[in-house]
Amino acid sequence: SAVIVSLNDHCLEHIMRHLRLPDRIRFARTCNRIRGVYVQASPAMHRSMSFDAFDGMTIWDMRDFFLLSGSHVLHIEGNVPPGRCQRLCEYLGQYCVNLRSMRATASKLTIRNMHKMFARTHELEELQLRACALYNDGLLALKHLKLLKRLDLSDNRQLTGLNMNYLPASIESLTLANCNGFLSKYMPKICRALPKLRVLNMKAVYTITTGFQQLVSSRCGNSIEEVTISSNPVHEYEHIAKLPSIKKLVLYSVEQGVTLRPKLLAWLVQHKAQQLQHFEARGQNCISGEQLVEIGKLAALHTLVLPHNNVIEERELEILKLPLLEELNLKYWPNLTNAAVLRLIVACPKLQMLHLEECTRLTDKLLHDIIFKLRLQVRAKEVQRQL
Amino acid sequence: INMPTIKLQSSDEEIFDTDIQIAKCSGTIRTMLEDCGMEEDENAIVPLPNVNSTILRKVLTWANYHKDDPQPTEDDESKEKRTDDITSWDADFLKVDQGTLFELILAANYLDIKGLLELTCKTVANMIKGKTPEDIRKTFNIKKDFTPAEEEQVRKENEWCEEK
Repeated sequence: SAVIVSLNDHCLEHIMRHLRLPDRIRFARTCNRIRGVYVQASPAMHRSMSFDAFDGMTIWDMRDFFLLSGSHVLHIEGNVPPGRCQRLCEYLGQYCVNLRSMRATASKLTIRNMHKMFARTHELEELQLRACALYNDGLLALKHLKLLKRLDLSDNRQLTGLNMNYLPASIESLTLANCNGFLSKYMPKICRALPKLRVLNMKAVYTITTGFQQLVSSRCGNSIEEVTISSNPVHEYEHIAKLPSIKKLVLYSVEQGVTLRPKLLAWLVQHKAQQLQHFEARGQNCISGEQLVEIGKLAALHTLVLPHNNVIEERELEILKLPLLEELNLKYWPNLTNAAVLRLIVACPKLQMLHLEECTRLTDKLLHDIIFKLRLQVRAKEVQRQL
Repeated sequence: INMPTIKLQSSDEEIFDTDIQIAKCSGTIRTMLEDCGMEEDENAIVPLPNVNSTILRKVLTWANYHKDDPQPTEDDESKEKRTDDITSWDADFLKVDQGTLFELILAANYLDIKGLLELTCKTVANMIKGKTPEDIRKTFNIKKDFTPAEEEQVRKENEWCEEK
């Protein structure tokens, strides 16, 4: 008889690990012994899968894989091969009943394939369907995923917000980056349907218009703690400051030198000075000197990120005193001086992390001065710096 | 300079005088030496009842050639591994009949020599690649042991599967 079956299970499993998926399946199909080893090793081998593994596989091989191993797949990611899309969706939805997370891109996920794909994936907690050409009606296929916490639908431009109120109420984080078909009129409805929503990311969505105003005036989005948007000077995003639970705000500005809407900082100071922990404004000179003075009044800040600025003057930076600040990012501030940084370290007693890359005026002397100062203060701090 | 040596005994009772450094590429021997404090004792004999002299000689040849290799790192269990990186010395070394190849796998496994286990398993994997189950059976002389009913079931499902 065959010498190969004289190998113990451990050795056969070791050989299997060196095989690509279709070869593995065919090897398992040769006899009962080897099939048994495959079945035994499958949970460990197939915990995390890539969609690429199915590219070029025959339907029979694919079917065998899902039948034997579908229930062991906990994580799957990658690009759904277009030629196998329909069958993959079908088998995945039928056999991957323990799937916890999926991160997929696909040239197209039709409404029919969406319904197939999520038919029995009840354990899904994290789902990313980026650039899958999704339709509003396709979202209805996610309705029954009662454990879903994080959903990322970035880069699906046909989505308008319609049907998003049928998404599972368990969702805590929703990302709609670059979904530029989005209509702000749906925002209250969506947030009302998602009472646990803590994190909302709408980066590069340029159709927000009065969305946040509508949210606030209809008293929705009360659980939202973190918002990311791309600021558009004509949109009234300052209403974010009135969201009751807001703790973290990230703003991207595309146009150089266009500052944030003045009301935003005024309202943040008025409503959230003791609550906002993280403020991040990315974009060349999107913060003016006066605005920095306002930021200095946000006393609860732990993290402040304001890269790319050459208009703020030293005396305006001098006023910045934040008692709870732990992390400060001033990358690409060409005018920043050693003296200014040292003053900041003294003015923000809890500062632990400084990002000062590409600040061309800073010299090595700063590091020595910081160390000297810290020795005096006998404080343990971690200073991260590259020049 | 004389390297310290150790005596290894194969299952057919042949004694191999071996440099300790080379013997220690085997995790199993390393543990035995450390646990039993045999390193000091020039005349100690390490019995290896699961490896015959032919295979042990090959294993030691391989270990001698690879004695300066870095220790292979533990990699991600779920990742499929490369099989196209076998050096020509190793490929020549493994130009052996299937019986010897499988005995080498078992020896590498028993002696816990990661590099050799990887290499031998890779070689077998390369013999499987791209083949149909029937071709794999022929290559390794595996007997098909599915019942006719199971066979029929598979055939039918397959037809249904390819047609739809």
